[in-house]
Amino acid sequence: MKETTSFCSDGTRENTANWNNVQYPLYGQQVTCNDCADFVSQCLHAGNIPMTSAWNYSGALPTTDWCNVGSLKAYLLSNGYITYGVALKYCLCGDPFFFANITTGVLEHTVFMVYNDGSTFKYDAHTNDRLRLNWTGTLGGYVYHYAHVIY
Amino acid sequence: MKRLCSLVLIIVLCIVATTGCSRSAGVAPVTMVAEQGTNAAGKTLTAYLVTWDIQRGTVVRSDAPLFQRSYYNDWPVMLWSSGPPFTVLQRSVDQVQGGVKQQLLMVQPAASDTRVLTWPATLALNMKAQESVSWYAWDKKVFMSAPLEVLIPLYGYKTLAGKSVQITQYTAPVQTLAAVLPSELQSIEGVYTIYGSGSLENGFVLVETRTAGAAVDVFWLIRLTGGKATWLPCGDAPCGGVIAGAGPQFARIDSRLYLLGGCRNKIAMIDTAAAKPVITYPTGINRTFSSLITKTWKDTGSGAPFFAALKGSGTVLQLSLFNTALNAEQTYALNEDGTILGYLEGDTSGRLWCMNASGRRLSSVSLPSLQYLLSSSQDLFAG
Repeated sequence: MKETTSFCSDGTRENTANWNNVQYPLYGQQVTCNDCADFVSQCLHAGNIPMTSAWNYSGALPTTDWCNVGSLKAYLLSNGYITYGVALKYCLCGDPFFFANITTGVLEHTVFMVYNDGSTFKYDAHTNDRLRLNWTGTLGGYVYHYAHVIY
Repeated sequence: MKRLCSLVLIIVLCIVATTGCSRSAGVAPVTMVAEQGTNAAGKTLTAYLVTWDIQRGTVVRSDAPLFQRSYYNDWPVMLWSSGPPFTVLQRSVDQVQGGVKQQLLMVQPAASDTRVLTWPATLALNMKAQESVSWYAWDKKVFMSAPLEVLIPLYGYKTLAGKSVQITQYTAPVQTLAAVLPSELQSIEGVYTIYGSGSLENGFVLVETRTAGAAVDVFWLIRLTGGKATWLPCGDAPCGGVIAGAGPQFARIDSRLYLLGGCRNKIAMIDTAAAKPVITYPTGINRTFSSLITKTWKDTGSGAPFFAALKGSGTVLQLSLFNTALNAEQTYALNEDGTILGYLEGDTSGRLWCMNASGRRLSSVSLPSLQYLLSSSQDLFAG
C-alpha cells in the first residue's frame, strides 16, 4: 500500500507529484487538498463514461458535477450510471463509494474501489491520497453509501 | 479577619458565577431536528424537535412528531427552518422501487403547525437537472434561484465577456434579473454560485470566479437592492477555491455569513451588509476551532480526511466534530468571539448529553434509533 507522507496545511494527505497533472492540471497546481471527486471522475471517465456539458473537465475548468462529491453522486444517479446504496459486496473494482456525515447525512468524501473478492476490499483515493488501501467499512464518523456502475 | 475572608470569597464566587453565566446569558435556545427510525429501504423516519437551552443547560425532545419521511434508496439532506411557523422543504425525487422509477414525496407533515414548502414546478425541474441552486426569500415569501455555474463551453468562446448571472424570483409573474459581469471579470472562464439569500429587493448572491492561470479563485458578492445587482469583490477564496470535494458549508447570523470550505481547518466570514464585503478569518473562532481539532481528531492514517460541520442557529455558531477517541460526534456552540458556550455529545446508549463548556454533563435526552440530527437552515439554501 502506497501512502503519501506529504500534507496540506489542513493536515490532509496529498502529494500532487503523483497525480495526472498533464491531463487534469487544476487541482494539482491551483486548487489543492480537495481532489476526491475530481479523482473519482477521472477514474470513471477512464472507464468510458463520456464527458457531457454538465460533467466534464474542459481544459483547466471542471464542472461542479465533476469535482464536487454531492453533485457527482447526483449526476451519476440521475443519469443512470450507478445503482446507489448497494451492499458492500456489490461495490466492485471500478465502482465509487461515498462517505456521508454520520449526523447530517451530507456527502463529504468519495473513493474508488479497486479490489473486492468478497472478503478483502481495497480502494484508491485522493486527499487523503491512498493507493490500494484496505477498507474495513468501520471508519468512525461516517455512513457509507456503496455504488455499482452500470456501464 | 474571618469576616474579611468570607467577604472576599463571596466576591470571588460572584465574579466566577457572573463570568460563567455571562458567556451564555441572553443566548436563545438552539433548536434541532432529530430524525429517528430505521435507515433502510422503504422505511420511515420520524422527526422531532430537539431544544437545546444552552443558558439553562438542558436538552429536551418534543413529544409530538413534526413530520415523517419515507424513502426507498436514498435519504437526501433535509432543509428546515424554525420559523415560526416551523418550515420544512419538500423535495420530491425519482426513486427506483422494485425496478421501477417513480417519484416519491419525501415529507408528510405530522403536526398541524408544520409548514411544508414545495419548489415551483420549473425550479424543481432545474434542481433535478442540477442546473440551479435555490433559496427561500422570507421577505417576499418566494423561492429564488441562480445558475449552479456559468462556464465557458467545451468548444467555443474563451471567456465569459458579456455574459450574466440570471437570478430568478418566483413571484407571479416570475421576475428575472440579469447580473451582467463587470468589466473586471471579462476575462474569467467560470462563475460558480455558492450561496444565496433574500430577494431581488434586498438580498445577495455569493459567487466564486475562476480565471485560467490565476493562482486562486476569487469571491464576488452580487448585492441585490431594489431589483438591481451590484458586483462587489470579496477577495481570494479560502485555499484557492471551495467548490471541489465536499464543497462549502455556510452559517448565516444576521448579515454575517460564515463559511467552512477549501481548507478544512479555517472558518471564513463575510459581512454581507458591509460597504466593502471582504473575506476575513475571525481570530477567536479560528483559535477555538483549532484547539477543538487538536482535542477531537487523531489521524490514524486509515481513512478519510478530517472534516467538521458548520451550522448556525441564528444566534450562535454550531461546530460539529467527530471525536475519534470517544467515537462520538460533538456539537459545540460558539459565540461571535469564539467562546465555547456548551456542547452536545452522544453516547453509546442512545442518549444525547448537554455539556457545559468545561465538559461537565448537565442533562440528557434519550434519542433511540437516531439517524440524523439536523440544524436549521436560515435561507433553506439548496445547492
